[in-house]
Amino acid sequence: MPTDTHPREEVALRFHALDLDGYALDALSIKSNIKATLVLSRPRGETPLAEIYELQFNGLERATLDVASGPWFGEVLGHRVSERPLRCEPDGDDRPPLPNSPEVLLEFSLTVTAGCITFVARDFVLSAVRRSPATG
Amino acid sequence: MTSTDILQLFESAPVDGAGLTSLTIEPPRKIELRLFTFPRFANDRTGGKEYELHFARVPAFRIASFSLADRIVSHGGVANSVLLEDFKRFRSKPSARFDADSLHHFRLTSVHGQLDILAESFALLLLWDISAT
Repeated sequence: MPTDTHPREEVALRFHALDLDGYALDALSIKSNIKATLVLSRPRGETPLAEIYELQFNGLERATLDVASGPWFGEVLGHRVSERPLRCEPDGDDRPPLPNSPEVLLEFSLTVTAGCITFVARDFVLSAVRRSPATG
Repeated sequence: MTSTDILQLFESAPVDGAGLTSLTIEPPRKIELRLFTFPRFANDRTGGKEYELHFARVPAFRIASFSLADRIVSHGGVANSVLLEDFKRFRSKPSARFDADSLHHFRLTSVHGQLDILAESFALLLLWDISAT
């Protein structure tokens, strides 16, 4: 998907308008510098059928996980989006810093019960996956 | 295979210096990492190898400042695990089927962060060996 068809402001507004709070983060997958996919569901036991969604971040530049307090990701307690310069710190001794660039990316953050997950990406897509029997 | 055997096998895995390219976390079923060794430079993949490190049955984990493309600097088993003690103390109903005696604490330390995994077992798979082609 061409990124220039999604101005940053429009993407940020769409993300800000999402109603993610209270959803359970069940799984997380980050694939190279391509995309990150989160599996979200309604809290278990609330309804006979679980509503499952995929939240996918595209044009992924960076992902940082700080989930330090428990066995589960838990529920989403909050989500926010902010602008962040493309320039990032080098990851290793032999990796040169990325050249200074005027491009600005979006930083998407989700606070969950167990910590915080941050993605620096160009866009996101939220889609319903399926409805399945709730467990637990 | 004893607990000591499993941790010694893990400690011999050739992942130090490798960069994290993919990460999948599906608790409590599995955690998978794909790691690419960079024998020369981060932007030169000649001679590199890609491994998948698969942890099965994972009732607890902790991630601190772990980033995509971060490099592993050390890895090993953790004795007298606080994570295991926390698990025993706070294990919730979904984790009750895990036997604490069969769990191992695996730790990967990267340039910027740390990943602690409490799991029953692990497997290391060589996915790509570019030097062999």
